[in-house]
Amino acid sequence: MPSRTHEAAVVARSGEPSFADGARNKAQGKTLEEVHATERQASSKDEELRTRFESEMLPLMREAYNLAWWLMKNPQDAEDVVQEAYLRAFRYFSGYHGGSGKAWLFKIVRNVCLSYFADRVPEGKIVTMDSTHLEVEDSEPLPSAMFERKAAIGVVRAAVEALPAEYRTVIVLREMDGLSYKEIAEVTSVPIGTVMSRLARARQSLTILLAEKKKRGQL
Amino acid sequence: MRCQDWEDFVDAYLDNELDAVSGIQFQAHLDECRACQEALGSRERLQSLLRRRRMRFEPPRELRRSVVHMLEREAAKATTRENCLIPPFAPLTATVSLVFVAGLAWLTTATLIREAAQGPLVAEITSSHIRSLLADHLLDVSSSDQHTVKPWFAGKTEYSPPVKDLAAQGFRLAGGRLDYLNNRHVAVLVYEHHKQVINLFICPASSKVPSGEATLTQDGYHLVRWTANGMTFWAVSDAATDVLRNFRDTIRE
Repeated sequence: MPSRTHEAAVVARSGEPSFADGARNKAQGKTLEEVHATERQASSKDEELRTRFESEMLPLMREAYNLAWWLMKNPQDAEDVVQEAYLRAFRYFSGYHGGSGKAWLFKIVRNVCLSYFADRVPEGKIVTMDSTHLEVEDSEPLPSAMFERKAAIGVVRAAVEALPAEYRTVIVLREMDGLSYKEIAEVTSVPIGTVMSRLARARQSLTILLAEKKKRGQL
Repeated sequence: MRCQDWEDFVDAYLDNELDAVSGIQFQAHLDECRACQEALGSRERLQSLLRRRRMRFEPPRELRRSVVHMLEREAAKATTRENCLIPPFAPLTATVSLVFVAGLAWLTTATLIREAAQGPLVAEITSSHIRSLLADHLLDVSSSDQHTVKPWFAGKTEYSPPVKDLAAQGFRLAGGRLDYLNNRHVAVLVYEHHKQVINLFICPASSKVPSGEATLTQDGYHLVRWTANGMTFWAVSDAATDVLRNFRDTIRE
């Protein structure tokens, strides 16, 4: 919701110009030359913003795509999400004032994914991101023998895919995209304490899933 | 086999996210605890599986090209919007309606921010309170002398929190620490009342955070909020609500 209102505000600002500006310029007694100079300045500022966007945000596309893939679980949706996220990011970029660029962009990626799910899941069947059913009390540690053979990548991928979305998100952000706890907290809009507990539970769940697969000889 | 006391530290240690003191303490514990050694080993093996390059999905080459192309179109669209000629009276109507839309958007956003801020902030304060008790991060400056605690915050926060020792009224000042809340550093004073810890978060009142009086409960912890002299105070503790209210009234006097 806030993004929509933001969008309206952005449109309002950029669509506001000529008449009001003209009146203001006249009142201030600006010459045509001065007005053109101001316009040139504005467009070079736009140019500068775009250059900065391309140099800071485009290099993050690999990680952004990986995150989108793991959240959507298929390549086509992942591509759409990345496109949409970059468009939104570009529109809001003037509101980004330093800090972790990764965290800023990935938060948008995650929000786009969430809005995809919200559009698709029929009402009354909302899948909550909160899942306590996978909470695990105790487990055996991962057997080290498992690593003597090369564990099949497909089995590990399937285990991660089977995690509930909020656990999957922290695993991907931490282990594959290399974010700090603070950055993960920013992306997922939860306190650092929650990031810590989600990560611990996600790892515990994976350990159990993989140990079971090992027992069944799939690993 | 599990090590109840330390198992919460294993992940943070693995991720290099423990503060220096806890890191050293856990390291020392690790030398003598089989359960934690095993837990850490298991986590390391899992991590090495997850971090394999083939676990990551690579974007197709066309994706970058199409994103760049889309950005160019978007930038061009913004420029035409600014430069196009508009008939003389249309802009007036457009401006009026856009100002209206912008105003409406502002109102909605402002309300949303105010409503949304309540939940996460309370959760953040509570989890910060819990962490302060858990990870041995209660005090950065340990002193019951208000003249030691107050100057300690100088230069660490953008404001100077009011510091009072209320030992005579049953609330002993234990010290203070710097915490992180709502994306900024905040001053926290720590008081003790019958062996219970009260964390008092103090930050300048602003439109971005809720202010005024409130009593809240989150995860079994009680919070009392009030605003005075341009500062918003949050007292959080597992002490009963009336103890916290009493604490608030004592501070205000």
